[in-house]
Amino acid sequence: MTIETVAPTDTPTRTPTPTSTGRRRRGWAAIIVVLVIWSTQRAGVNLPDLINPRGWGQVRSFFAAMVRPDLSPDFLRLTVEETAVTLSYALLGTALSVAIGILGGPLLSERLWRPLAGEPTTRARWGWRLARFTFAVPRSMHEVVFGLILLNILGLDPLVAVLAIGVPFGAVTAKVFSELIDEVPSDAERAMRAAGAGRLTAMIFGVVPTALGDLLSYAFYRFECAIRSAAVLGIVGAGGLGFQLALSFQSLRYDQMWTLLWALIAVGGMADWWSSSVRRRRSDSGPDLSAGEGASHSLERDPFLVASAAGGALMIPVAWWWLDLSLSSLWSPRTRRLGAELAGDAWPPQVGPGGWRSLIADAADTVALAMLALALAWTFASALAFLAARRKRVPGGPALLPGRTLSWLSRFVLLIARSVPPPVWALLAVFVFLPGLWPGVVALAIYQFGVLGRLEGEVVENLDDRPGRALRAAGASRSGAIAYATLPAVSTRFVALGLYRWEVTIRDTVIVGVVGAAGLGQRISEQTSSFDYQGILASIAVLVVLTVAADIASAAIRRTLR
Amino acid sequence: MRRSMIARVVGALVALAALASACGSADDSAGADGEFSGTLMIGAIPDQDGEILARNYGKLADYLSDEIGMEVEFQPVTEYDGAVTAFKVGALDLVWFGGLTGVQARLEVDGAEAIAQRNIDAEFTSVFIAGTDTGIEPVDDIAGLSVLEGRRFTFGSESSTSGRLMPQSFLSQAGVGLDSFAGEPGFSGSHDQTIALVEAGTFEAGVLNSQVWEARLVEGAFDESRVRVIFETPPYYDYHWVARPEIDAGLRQAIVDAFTRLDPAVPEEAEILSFFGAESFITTESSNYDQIEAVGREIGKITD
Repeated sequence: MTIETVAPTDTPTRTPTPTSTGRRRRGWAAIIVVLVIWSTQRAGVNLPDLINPRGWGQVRSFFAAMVRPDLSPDFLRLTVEETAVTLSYALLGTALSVAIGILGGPLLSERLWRPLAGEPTTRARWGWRLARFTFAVPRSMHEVVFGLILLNILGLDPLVAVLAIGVPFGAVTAKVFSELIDEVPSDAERAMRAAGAGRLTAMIFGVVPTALGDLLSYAFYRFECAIRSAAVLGIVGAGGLGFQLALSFQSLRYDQMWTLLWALIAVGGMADWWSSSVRRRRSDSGPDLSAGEGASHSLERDPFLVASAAGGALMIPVAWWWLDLSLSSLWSPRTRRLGAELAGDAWPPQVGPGGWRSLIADAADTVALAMLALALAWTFASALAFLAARRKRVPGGPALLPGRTLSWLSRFVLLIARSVPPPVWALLAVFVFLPGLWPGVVALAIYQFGVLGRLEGEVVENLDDRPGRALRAAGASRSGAIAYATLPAVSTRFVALGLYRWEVTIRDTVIVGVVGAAGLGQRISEQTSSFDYQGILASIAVLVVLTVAADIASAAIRRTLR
Repeated sequence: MRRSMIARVVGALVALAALASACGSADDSAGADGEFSGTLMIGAIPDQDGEILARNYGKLADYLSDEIGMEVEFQPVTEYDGAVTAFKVGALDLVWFGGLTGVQARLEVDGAEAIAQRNIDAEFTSVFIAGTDTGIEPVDDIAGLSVLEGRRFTFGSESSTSGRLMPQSFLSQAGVGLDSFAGEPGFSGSHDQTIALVEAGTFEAGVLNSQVWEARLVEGAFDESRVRVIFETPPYYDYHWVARPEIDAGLRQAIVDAFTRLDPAVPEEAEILSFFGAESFITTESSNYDQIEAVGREIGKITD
């Protein structure tokens, strides 16, 4: 769940001419088309080799159980308790990520490293780069990978889940916060520095308070993502709803799975609602997560926002108590010893049996899997976003958007798609697709479809639809107005959102490494069961490189969209 | 993870106090750094029906607690490797492992020992199954497994002894390597899923623990006209309890006695036995697993 903004300094020094931007944009488009074709080729396209029609029986029984979940008192009690565990992980993980973000944001901001006037020194430039690199690595590792590492050091401790969510999310939050900081008007800070205040002092008192409001509203979005992460972490053994889900799936108890899934859908839906309400109140222009523009408003005194922030903060000790969390293991001698042992076992990284050839093949599978999943998710999400947008939020909406029932239904489909953890989608997909890349592709695609559809729906809701209304008033049909007014207005934003999800999708391939060839995820899973730490380190390193590459490419493409 | 309210409050206060003083000492009830004290943490890899796992291990925890006179707590773990890691770091003291995971765990912890197992574990087997419409016919011996060449095939969990390790070894004796199948072999994740995936036709054949197969057959959990056994493997040693070295000789003996004393005539104890699918428990020793260790090394699941 990474939503990031482009660093202002990444822009080339030479201002590109419109034609060169257009050429670059076409170049990138061609590269993406080639990548998608190559991925499709790699996954296979011959339907009889891909589809297993007989497997529909299992999928049907799964969905049939949707309306008859296990409601026995024992299981309900278990579900409620486990929901509290999952929520607690998510809340504490988010709190940690905000703390890391507040500390790390100023450090990553360009502003801290830049002198009051003139160009930054070479040392400052390298300092800034080093800081950014330090945060880029945890950002490109999946929570599950953190969980895996921490389990080896801390054992079965709820702290594992909290840290596994908090650290990578903290790295993302720090980056977002640094960009918010860089966008704050600099008057106050300049005045303070001119008056002799130190760089850090000016930052803390002149800039941070202004950006803090946006950071808090961003924290609510992270919380929404953290719930989904906590569920996935549970599947790999951290406890909570995901843990029970894994147990029920292993014995194919679909009725129990649905009790747990409904709980996930309910808390996910509430968190989404809370998060989007907060963000909508933050700015009139809406939650513009895709570009970081429209940020930098001062902290408004909105009672709903204050109550939300206070409520969230109050829940932290409750969650702490529920998990029976203790920090003592962090500095125990055992932790130090196990940490050192793990480092010794994992260094140096080793490619392992099969050599580079098999590692590269797995990496290629990972790229293809992510590419196809994202392409599918983006296509369907972009189509559904128009149905999912709430028309009461769109001025003149009824003229352009479909009826309320359809809109509600679409949003519900999206909610289910993103609330059911990808590993569960994968295990279902395995029944209807023959072994290969497609089960993983479909699983990730469904999940990303749920996330992207929601974000794109918000783009549509926040659209300036005056051009569309003008066309309607002039006699154009609804589809005509959408085609000529709405589509052009949203398409760039949709593409930008899709690109943001690119690196996330590559990161996420690690959790659908089930059954058959699924690239690095499958590889890591096999290495984990052999306790081949050197191999795991090599695979993780490759995954990090791929994620960072996607991040860089995505930022470069988005620059051409501006 | 679920403890009494009071324990939670105390725990939270202790945590806060530790945080405030910023120098809390390690709370290793059963860490590798000291003598065994406090609560005996037992755990298990979820090889069977996950739903009843926690409840039944709770019964076992109560029984053990009464027999050996100390507090026993059950901690479920979803993944094989998670159980090994938890054992390694000392979060679990006594774990019900599979053959391979038990060996892996002992190799990670010096002085850990295999102590007890079910009567059936000394002669455990796996069954190879195939879809009835695949044209894969039952075979008579290990060499016959070569019929699986060029087929879509799934194992169970990656580190399952009966769902992966021993089957892979038997396949290799028949000249069938991991690259002999159509595409890469699958790892379904559990014995139940192996049956479901072969029944659904995603994979033409698969392999699982014969005990789970027999149980599902009796329950009628799948369509017998669609999937059948094509081969049952020769026997090998599988599941067993492994104890950490902190459990000294006396305590170890008390635990073994408690297991071997389990009596089918006592209703509560019969429940525990039936949950394990056992008539009784017997003592075992680490050397029984030398074969498993050798196979583990051969196929690369044990590397050090």
